[in-house]
Amino acid sequence: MNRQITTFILGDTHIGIDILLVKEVYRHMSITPIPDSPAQLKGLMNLRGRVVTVIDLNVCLNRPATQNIDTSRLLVLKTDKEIEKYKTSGLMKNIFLGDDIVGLLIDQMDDVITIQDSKIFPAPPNLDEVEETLIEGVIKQEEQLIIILDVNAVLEKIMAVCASMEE
Amino acid sequence: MMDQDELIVVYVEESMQHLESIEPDLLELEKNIDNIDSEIVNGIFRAVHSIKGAAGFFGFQKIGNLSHIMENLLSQLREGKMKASPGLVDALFAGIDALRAMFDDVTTSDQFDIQTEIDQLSQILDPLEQPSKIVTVKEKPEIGKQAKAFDIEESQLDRFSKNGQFLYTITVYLKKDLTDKGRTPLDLINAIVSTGELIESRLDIDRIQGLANCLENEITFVFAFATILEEDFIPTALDIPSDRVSIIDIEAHKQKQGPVTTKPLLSKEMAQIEETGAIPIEESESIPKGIEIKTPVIKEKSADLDQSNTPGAAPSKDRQKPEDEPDLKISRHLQTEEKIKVGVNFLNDLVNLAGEMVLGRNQLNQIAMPLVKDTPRLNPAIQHISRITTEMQEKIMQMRMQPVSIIFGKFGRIVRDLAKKLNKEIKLVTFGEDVELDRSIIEALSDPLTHLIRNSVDHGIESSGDREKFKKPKQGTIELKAYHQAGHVYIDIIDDGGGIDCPWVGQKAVEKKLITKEQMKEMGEKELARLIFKPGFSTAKQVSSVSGRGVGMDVVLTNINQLGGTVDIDTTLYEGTTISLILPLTLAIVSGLVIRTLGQSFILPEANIDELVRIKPDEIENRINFVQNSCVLRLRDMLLPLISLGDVLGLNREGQGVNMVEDRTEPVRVLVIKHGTSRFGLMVDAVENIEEIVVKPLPRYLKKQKSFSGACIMGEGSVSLILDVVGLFEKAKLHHIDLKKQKEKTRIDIKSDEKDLQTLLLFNNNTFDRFALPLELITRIERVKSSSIERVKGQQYLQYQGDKLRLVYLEDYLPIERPDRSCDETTCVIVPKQMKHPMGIVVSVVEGTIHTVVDIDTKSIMSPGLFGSAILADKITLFPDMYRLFELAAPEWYGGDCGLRDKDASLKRILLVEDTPFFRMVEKDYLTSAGYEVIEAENGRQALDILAEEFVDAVILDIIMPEMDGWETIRAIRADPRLKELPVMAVTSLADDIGAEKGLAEGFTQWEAKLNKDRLLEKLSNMLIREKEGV
Repeated sequence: MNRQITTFILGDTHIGIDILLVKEVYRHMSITPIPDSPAQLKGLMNLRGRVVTVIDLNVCLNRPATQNIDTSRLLVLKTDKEIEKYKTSGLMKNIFLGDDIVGLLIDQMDDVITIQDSKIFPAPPNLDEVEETLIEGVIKQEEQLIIILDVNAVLEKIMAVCASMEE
Repeated sequence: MMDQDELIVVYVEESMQHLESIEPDLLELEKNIDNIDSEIVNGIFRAVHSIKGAAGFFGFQKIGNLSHIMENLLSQLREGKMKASPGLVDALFAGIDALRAMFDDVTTSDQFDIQTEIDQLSQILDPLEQPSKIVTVKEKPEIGKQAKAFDIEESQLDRFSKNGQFLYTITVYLKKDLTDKGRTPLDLINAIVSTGELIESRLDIDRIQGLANCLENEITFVFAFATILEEDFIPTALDIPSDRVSIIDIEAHKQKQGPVTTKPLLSKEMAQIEETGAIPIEESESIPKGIEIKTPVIKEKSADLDQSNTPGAAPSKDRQKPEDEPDLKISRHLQTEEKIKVGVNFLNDLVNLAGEMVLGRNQLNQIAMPLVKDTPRLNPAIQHISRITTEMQEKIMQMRMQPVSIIFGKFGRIVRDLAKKLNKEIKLVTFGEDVELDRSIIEALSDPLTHLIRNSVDHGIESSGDREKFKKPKQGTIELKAYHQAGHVYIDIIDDGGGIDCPWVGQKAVEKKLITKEQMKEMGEKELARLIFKPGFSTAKQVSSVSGRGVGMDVVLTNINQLGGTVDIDTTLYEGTTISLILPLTLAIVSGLVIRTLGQSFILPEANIDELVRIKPDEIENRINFVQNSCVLRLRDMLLPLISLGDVLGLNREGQGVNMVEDRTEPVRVLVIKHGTSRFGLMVDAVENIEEIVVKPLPRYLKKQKSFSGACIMGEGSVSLILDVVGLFEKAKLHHIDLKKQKEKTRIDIKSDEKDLQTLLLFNNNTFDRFALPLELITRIERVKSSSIERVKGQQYLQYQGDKLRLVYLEDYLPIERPDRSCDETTCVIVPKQMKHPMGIVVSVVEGTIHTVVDIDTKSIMSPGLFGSAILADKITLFPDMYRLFELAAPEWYGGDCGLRDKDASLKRILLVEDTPFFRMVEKDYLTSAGYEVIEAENGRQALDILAEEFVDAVILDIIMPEMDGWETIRAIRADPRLKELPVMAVTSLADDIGAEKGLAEGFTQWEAKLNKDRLLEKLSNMLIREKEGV
């Protein structure tokens, strides 16, 4: 089956996410840090009157935390309500984004590509510093290796980290 | 059109409402069981009848059967054929419970086993009553139409004909008559039920040809019902075309019955009906008392917010309003105001929009404020919008408000049943049912309140026997009160039971290892009582099925806290207990105070703040103390635990926060926070303004964060976190425990550090250099007019306390920048302590004092006249050697003999006994730089301890010391045979000759004034040489 993947650059990696999950890409940012919270949560942001939880993808992928966000962009994901229609029509299954708006910090947006599910390979074992559970697989696009992110797994992991924060 | 499922949902809702209305009525009935109010019976009958009526329509057999039997019972009751008994009430309650259970899962209701309830009800029914014969009645034959037939119990038929009621069939087309006109079958059923009695209802599917045509073909409903109205009036009454109505022929039956004793209504009265739409009542003797002939009215709850999914559904107005006849009692559940049903989702959207509007208004205000001056007419416009926004928001919030009676209603039954079960006599009294709360709060309150009430019944109220023993009325009372106070809603559960035995609770908590014995001893009554809210606590001797599982009370507390409320408990042994739930009025828009700590802004809801206290730096010592490792603030007559926001949120670095409070040169800002009945102080950096903020829920990832209760968007666009005072306090307590542990660990280290803390006076000459001197060496700092400095023989003097003070200028003796003193009007003079000859050091500016650890460097910057240098507050600071300076300035006063220097200074051990850290440091430095090994002691006692263990070559001894001063020490030393010959030199700030004499007499080998390096070393080496030489 064909899927449209929107790709972006994080550090030196190209990462892709199913375009149906993406709401918008936002530029201007003023993030309020959350005291005493896990490093994966960069903070909260105001997006046209809604509170967006900003996720530091670098931390999620076991990399050093994003330091300078001046040039970063925010990839805003949809909510469960917005992907409901995809689920009922069968385009998507078993993806739970939650009711809160979540944004992923990225360095730069890249192209939207169309891929075939069959062309997604499992993560090669030498892909270091990347949590294998968080990715669906990899795909090669004109000599460029793109990591397909499993958004569900990312959000679940963050939820788990937050839940275990209680003393 | 409304499909079947939606219809069922509405039916279930309406039936549930009916059931809810029956309960209080039944309770009322029970209270006056010997003298029952026929109105009440009628009310109950109508409710059950409504349920039964539609049950047949939907095909819910068991519901229909059960309600049918209940109806029979009630009809017997209202006809006076039966007396009410506790058994009857119980049977009816049982029936209601079964019905409720069936409605909970209505689609499987037919599988429900209701035999027990049916038996119970049947038993009550007149056992002599013959099982009724079923007869069939038919419509009056009409040409071209097939007469429909219905089965009916003969006894029912008898009753109808006796009462002069007519039987009709109503045939309606689902689409034509109902859907197209915006009505549902239920609406029709309700109308039928309100005009008479529904006998049977069914779906006529004869005319449907195949499922495919189902929607196009007309589905017909057929009802059989009995009413007093004559045929001509039915169409109007039910709002259906007249050809839908057919009369049922019961003539044959009537004749069988015999002469009818009732009068049909006169046509005059019928005309009246046409005009007013109401049926006047005639109390004629032919109509037996207790019969319901007034048209019943649909019961409606006063709060009409319904869970239906049809926003803006057609207004449901009652069709017939009975006239207010003097001899008729008005049913209590009359509908009074036109209402509209609105979906809850729709309401939520409205609330969100209101919130957005407030946000936008705030933003607008912020942007517009500076422009207001230059823009005419801008201000009134903004004010106007602001006012309207506030009002609109308030009104919208009000929409979500519902009276607490919604949940209070069910408690009557709960108390009754439970009390009966436990063999106690308890009455429940409610106040303030009209008090309104936000809908979501009300929903969330239901369970906790239920638990608290059950708890009162179970554990609070004693058995009648016990109560009598204590001279209390046999019947216990539980009061359920709701009222407004100070911006909150209070819900009190007050019982006059046995109260809570607080010491016993404490014991139990210790046994269950919830607290330690020590903690228990420190707790007051209230705190002990609150232990019942701790998870795992249950004092019930047997865990009863009612309560006492130990999971209830802590869940109550958590639930209430989550709503933003608190629980307070007040109890008196033998007298009773009062539990108060304190809840916020609204959730969504809150008045909050913006506070700042370490560069971040936070919001604190105004409702939690009691007051704001500002403590000036000089008051800090007085008002902020450390008590048993916790910081407390003295506020008038209270001691408030004080926590720093920065600490609790983990924002503070080392050396900040509550522990460094003593260092502050700025005022301390403390917010006094209310938390239930207790208070605590929250230290913050800055307090800004109060803002109306729209509370946004925290994303699910942060739900576990106890410190925050929500987020909001500030006027200038950034997100701020809203603090949760309960969470903060709990976190701080934990924090305190950790701090405690930390403190234990480093106690030893701290002790040693404290020794080195010194207070220094900082001053400068308006040049780049900065100077410091230990404060304890200084007696006074004088501000003098330059004009009062006199010049005599090339030296400067000052008249001071009747004496001439010789003035010394640092720049004359030290390699420092010369200040320009010509313009100085005033200048400062530092007067040191206990100088043999009065002298003062002239400086331009005295900066202030600093309390810190000094690490003096005697090597990098050295010159005669300087003790050394150090870096204080990030600046290189020079320490002038006062004594040397004075010697240089007035050599005639401070002459000294230069003795031999012992070249063999190495490996000599000197015991330095000095309590003042500064001097100890300086003297040690002198000695070590001269090659001696130095052992330090703080006071005489320590010195003696050391002397007992170690060998030293000489002792340098201060006089003024705590614990054991120099005099005692020297005596002790000389008393010790071992130490009789030990060279001991006094180095003291007491610089008078008398001291020297006394000193030598007491046993000092040498006597020297502080703090002359050369002379010190000289004399020391002299001492040692002499010692060596055995002199």
